[in-house]
Amino acid sequence: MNNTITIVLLSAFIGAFLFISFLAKKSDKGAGAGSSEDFVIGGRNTGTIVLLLSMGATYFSTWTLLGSFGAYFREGIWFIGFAVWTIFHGIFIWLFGARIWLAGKRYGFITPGQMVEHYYHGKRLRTTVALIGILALVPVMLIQVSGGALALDTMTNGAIPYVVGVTITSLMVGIIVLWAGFKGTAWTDSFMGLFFATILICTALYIAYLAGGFSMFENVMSYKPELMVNSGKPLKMIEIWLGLGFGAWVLPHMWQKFYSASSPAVLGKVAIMTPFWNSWMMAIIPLVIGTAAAIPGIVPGVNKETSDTILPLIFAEYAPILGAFVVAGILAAAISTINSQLLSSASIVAEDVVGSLRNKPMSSKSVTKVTRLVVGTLTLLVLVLALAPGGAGLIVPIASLGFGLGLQLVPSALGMLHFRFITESGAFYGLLSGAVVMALIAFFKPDVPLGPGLSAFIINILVTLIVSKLSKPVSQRSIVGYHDMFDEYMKNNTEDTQSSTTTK
Amino acid sequence: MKIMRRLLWLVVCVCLVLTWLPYFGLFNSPTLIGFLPEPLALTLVCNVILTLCVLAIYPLYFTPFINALNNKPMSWGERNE
Repeated sequence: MNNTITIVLLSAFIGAFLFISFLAKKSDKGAGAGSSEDFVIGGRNTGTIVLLLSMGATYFSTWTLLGSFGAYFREGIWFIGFAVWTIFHGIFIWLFGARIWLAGKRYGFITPGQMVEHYYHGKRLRTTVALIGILALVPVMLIQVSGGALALDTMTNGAIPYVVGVTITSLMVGIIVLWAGFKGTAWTDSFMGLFFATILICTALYIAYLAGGFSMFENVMSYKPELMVNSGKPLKMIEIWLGLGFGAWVLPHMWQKFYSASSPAVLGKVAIMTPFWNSWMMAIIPLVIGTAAAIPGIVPGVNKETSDTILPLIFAEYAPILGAFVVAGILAAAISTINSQLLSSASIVAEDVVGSLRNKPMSSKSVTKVTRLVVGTLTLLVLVLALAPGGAGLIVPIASLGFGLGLQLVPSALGMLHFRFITESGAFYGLLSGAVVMALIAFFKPDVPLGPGLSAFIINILVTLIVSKLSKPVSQRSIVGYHDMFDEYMKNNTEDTQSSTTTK
Repeated sequence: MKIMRRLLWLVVCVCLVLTWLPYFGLFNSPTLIGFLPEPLALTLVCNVILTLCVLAIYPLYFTPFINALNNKPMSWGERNE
């Protein structure tokens, strides 16, 4: 790979980030400029295309750009469950996202924790949800930074050393978020999403052509027939499905994206476009490239150990001069995921942790100030940990549990959005037991048939149900303010549904 | 509308179940259907139907939701009523 071209392209890319952030900041001159609502969720003013691209780019991380290709190469079409669960993201926008948007707009929430406290009337649950949310996000951020920097180091043969990669990524994320807040992250996400989507589409078309076009799967079958049948392991797929499927809406940085939509029409349009972006592009393209790589000669040098670097290997073989675009794509994928996680974590610390410790509520401008301060601190923390010898290594076991931890937030969220029988005590003890079980499994590593996330999730659900049965129900004010509102506006909103409700 | 909504969820559930069959060894033979191996063909056909279901969510759910908000406007941003 030509390192001069790589460095020039990377510099141009960084310039583009800064320019887009500048434009985002410049556009932010409305009456609400400087408010926490504006800084954290873009003033609830995000349009369809930006929200669609931002949600996609945030959800699909460096792992998508590297790891999913390897998963198809190693596991074959077993991994096609990936494409199915990403279709459900569109359905989840109706089932969960629209309700989150409605309650968020109705009561003026900017963090998930605010909704938890308002619905359940419980500070302890709000604080626990906030801590679990941060614990699920911050280590994953660190892994993204260090993983992206390692990939840059390897692909440029040390021309962009690990230290420089970590520093560039952390600084870029910190600058975008501090400078332009939600709007900056959403706009740069859109740019980065389009950039790495272009790389993926062009590469997939070229590799499919090399692999025999419509005969591609037949060719793969003649070399590795085992990849063209499903190898089973349904429990493993269920765990991935639940973790990554629910992670698409329940993790705080995705939850806040729903708050940011300017209208339900925007959410609806994002929902119907999501399958095309998330499934047909981001999940099917790795299928084409990952399985084609099993045909000898298509991706020279690929084996099980190097399968997570299929994309760089393709560029090294066929278009070394364009390898710089993959480097920039990896940086794009990392930054587009981390910036939303950073902003979300900082807003949770400011609003749900610092805010809930104070007797008097903070003003909107104070929340923005504290959020900015936490953004700076977290950026520095991630940078120091990523640079410290063994720092990232220490955090790997926690980061690998990120989506599993996010899964533990599901029962308490379902209580607010769908199931009125879930009580504050049920949600609190369920969440606590799920987190404790995950920690115990991670620490003692017992031989359990299900993974830590799914095992803890089952315990969490059981505890939530039992304790909810035995404890005081949520207040009538919450039932009317949430579930009755959802029923009125989202369920019994047509003539035939209204008449059937009246009949009942 | 009510029937259409029920039909939508029925189709979603059926497709979801069908996509899981290869994980349990059903529709999982190494034969080609067109240019796709059998389990992949099944999953992709279900994926197409599920995509159509997601498209149907807009007229079946979002349009009535938007109309309800227009017909019965609510006050926004008030946490303490």
